Amino acid sequence: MLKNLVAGLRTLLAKRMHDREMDEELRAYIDAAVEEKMRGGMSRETAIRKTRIEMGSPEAVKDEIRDAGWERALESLWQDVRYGARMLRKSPGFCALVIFTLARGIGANTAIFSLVEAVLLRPLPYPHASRLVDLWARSDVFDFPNLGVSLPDLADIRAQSRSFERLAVYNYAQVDLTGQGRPQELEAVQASPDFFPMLGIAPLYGRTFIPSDARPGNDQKAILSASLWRTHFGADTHVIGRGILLNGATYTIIGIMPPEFAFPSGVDLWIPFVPTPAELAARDTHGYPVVGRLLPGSSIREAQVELNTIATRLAVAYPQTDKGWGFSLRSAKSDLVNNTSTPLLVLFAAVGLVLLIVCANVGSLYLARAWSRAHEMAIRAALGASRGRLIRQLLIEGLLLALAGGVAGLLFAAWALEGLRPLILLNTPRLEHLKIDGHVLWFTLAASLAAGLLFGLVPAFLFSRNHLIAAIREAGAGREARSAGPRQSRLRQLFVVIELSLALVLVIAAGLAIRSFARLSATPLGFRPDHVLTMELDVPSYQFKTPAQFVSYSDQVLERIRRSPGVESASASISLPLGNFRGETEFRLPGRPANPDAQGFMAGWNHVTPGYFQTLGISVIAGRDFNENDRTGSEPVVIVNQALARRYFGNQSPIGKQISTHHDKDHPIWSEIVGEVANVRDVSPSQKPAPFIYEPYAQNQAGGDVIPQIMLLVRTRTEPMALGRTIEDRIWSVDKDQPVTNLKAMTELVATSYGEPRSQSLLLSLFGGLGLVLALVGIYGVISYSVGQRTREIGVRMALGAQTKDVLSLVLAQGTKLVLAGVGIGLAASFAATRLMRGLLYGITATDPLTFAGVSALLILAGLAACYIPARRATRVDPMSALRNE
Amino acid sequence: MRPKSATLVQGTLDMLILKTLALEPLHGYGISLRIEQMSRGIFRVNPGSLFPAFRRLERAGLLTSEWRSTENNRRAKYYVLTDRGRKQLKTETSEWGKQIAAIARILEAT
Repeated sequence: MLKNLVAGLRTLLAKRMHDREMDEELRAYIDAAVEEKMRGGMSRETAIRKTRIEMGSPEAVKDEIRDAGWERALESLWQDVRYGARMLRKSPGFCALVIFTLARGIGANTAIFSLVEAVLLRPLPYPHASRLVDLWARSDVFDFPNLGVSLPDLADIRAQSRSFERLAVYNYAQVDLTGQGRPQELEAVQASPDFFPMLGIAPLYGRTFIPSDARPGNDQKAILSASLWRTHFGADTHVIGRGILLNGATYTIIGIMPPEFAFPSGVDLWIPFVPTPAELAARDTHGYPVVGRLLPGSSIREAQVELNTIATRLAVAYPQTDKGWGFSLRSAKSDLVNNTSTPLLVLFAAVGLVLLIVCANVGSLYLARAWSRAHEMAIRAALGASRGRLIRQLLIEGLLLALAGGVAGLLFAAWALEGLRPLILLNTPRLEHLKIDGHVLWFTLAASLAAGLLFGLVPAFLFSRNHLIAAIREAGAGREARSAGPRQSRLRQLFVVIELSLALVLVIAAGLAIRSFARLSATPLGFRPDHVLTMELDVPSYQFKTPAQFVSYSDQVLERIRRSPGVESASASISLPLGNFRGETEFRLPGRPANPDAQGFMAGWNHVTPGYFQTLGISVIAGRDFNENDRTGSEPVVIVNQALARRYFGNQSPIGKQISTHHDKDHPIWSEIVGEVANVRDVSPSQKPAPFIYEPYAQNQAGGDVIPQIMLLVRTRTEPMALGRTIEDRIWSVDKDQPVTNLKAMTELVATSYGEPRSQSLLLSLFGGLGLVLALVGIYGVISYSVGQRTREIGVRMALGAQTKDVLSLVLAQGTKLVLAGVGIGLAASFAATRLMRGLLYGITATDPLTFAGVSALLILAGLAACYIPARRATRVDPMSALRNE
Repeated sequence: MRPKSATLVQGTLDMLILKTLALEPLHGYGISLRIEQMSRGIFRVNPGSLFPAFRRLERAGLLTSEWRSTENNRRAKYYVLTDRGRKQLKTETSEWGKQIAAIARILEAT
């Protein structure tokens, strides 16, 4: 093998020497043969002649010897490549057109693939990441698939399951960092000691948690994320062992994590998770996310089966809390990218269609060029080139073009990614990994080669020997080769039909996305986001000893804001519609069993000050808004939304009815419903409003902890952002150290929540438009070509009295046939393909008849318009000159 | 291929060349002559097949070659069987024997 390789290389490199040796060997052979024959009695001349005859041409023999080595094939391939490159250089216009077209197709694919790669394909950055799973609690009654697991349940799973190497629990917490410049709220995660070992990530400096860190009293340790370490501690390695103030208590920094580690995403620091005995016993608190590592060899499916068994056992043992509950297990990656995979795959499919259209388009161009070279090909065939060799030549040229297109596409993709980044999928996880890396390069290479093969092989159908002979004959007669013309134009027509049908699929997909987005935008949100300014005050709970202090602080702030010029109203709440945070609560109704199978009914939940509904423009349907008297100590009251009233009170008015969201040692605390307000789309614009309960901000019905967070909402008379500074000053006039974050116009928050459907419809429109233009160029090209071919026929018809409209309809009829065929096939394909989009659409079905009909009509009109231009040209044929030219 | 000569079974030419060289190194024409003589004129090997076979066998490490003077004091390229070539000849001969016997059994069966 090696010897073969070396010998081959030597032959390639020392070609001349090798040829000389071959000559000499052959001469020796001839000499020996001649001598042998002379010894047999022949004359010298006869012997030489006979030897020549026996041997044939020495050049042919040498050729055969050369063929015996692999290097020969390489050599001829290289010849073809050089010849191909030369031929391409001779037609720069054609090359530029093809490369440009390919670059768009390959570039768009590269860009979308790099998205798919970064978000969906790349494994999570942990060792053996495929074994990492998320464990959630699932209720058969409530429609919430991802609830946290309760700690006693987790303990039972740990004890009974045989599938997991480790199960770690964590909990989100917000902490205030003080004594480090401006006070700031940080995203902290409380993690059990096995959290880091389970993920398998070592700290950059210091250490991670050990079991003793979770002992109460010994638990004031903190591990910093690399970004927090950089922004707040100047990336100083000496911070390890130093204390920081979190919520007013001193924590010791014990470690710093590497920059690529961010789990859960967005976390600033980790502190030990030390559950209280009460929390450890609360089987009904479904509050803790659990992440686990499967044992090598056990699958998610097996583990899920085991969890189901455990859940059944728990339901029997603890019917009060565990009946109707189960557990669900998903791979940590799929959990992370779950919501993004469908939109991304739809985009990927769309962009794949664009590439197919590009290939058909380029294939058609390539076919025309190959045919115009039929003469050259015929001569090469006559000189002994096999059909395979000719096809190889065309294939090589196709691949050369495709590779050039791939390189151009890569540049295009790099440019497009930068341009698209702000536009694509604002909420997509893992987007920070987006880049053109090795995998993407391989993909681009593969896509280019596939495209090259696809359109490069097409002309192979043309070059049968008979066609080549005919081409020579016609070339000899001084005419342009034409006999294989019908075959050529049939193929090109086929391409156009394919292009049109694929374009139809793309444009229908874009149409569906646009219509769905329009529906979504037209759906009332239930509140008026214009002229509303929102901001967040992080109020450190340790500064306020009692809820009353907290309420009086927020009252002061609101009072000062209301007195500013330009402010119409101001109010506070715990969460915002379409915000990052949404409260949920269980509730009970008097006289009804607290839900037979589970603990209660579920509703969205918010605490709001008087004026909240007015500020957001939510209409009060019945009853009253909260007022200044609804405070802790007064009669507990709530306001419910229409969805809750409809579902639980039917046609009766909910006003005056009792409802309970809190209980005191199993005794429900009843509140009176004093108002009913309109539904608000608070989760996302596309999600139907669920039951919702509002409680007075100043009324602490449970008498429990204060939620240390105030969302301020200010309705302004003018442009809201212009008032930002004034309002900040008002806040600081109460407490100059109060951090104000996320100062935003409500419209911005709304725009963000529309971001995903908007970018989807935008990108799909982009691809649809690209496909449509390519398909129109395709049909224009084919009809133009056919008009050119039929000049003589048209001339004859006109000479015989055909009118302009006859000629027009002659040409248009041909175009109509192609367009209708394309639309027909495209419609069938669309019915199958748009099903992929079902989950993305709002308010319309995936086979929305209006979109299908409208887009088809659009495509037919555009297609005919593209045919009309060459048809007009056909009517201007001068019969005399057309006939004379032949 | 001349009409008189029988067509060699595919792949047997290599074996015949190896066999011819098993006795002594020979040059190209010598090998061709030897094959013709030994087969009593049934096989005549054309240089167009012979020389490519040399190249193949040389590449495969079964032959080496060297330039030597002939008995007539001319220079010619002599081919020499290597150890691997000798081993290859042995296995091919026995393989061939088995095949011939098998074919004969099939043809004799009624």
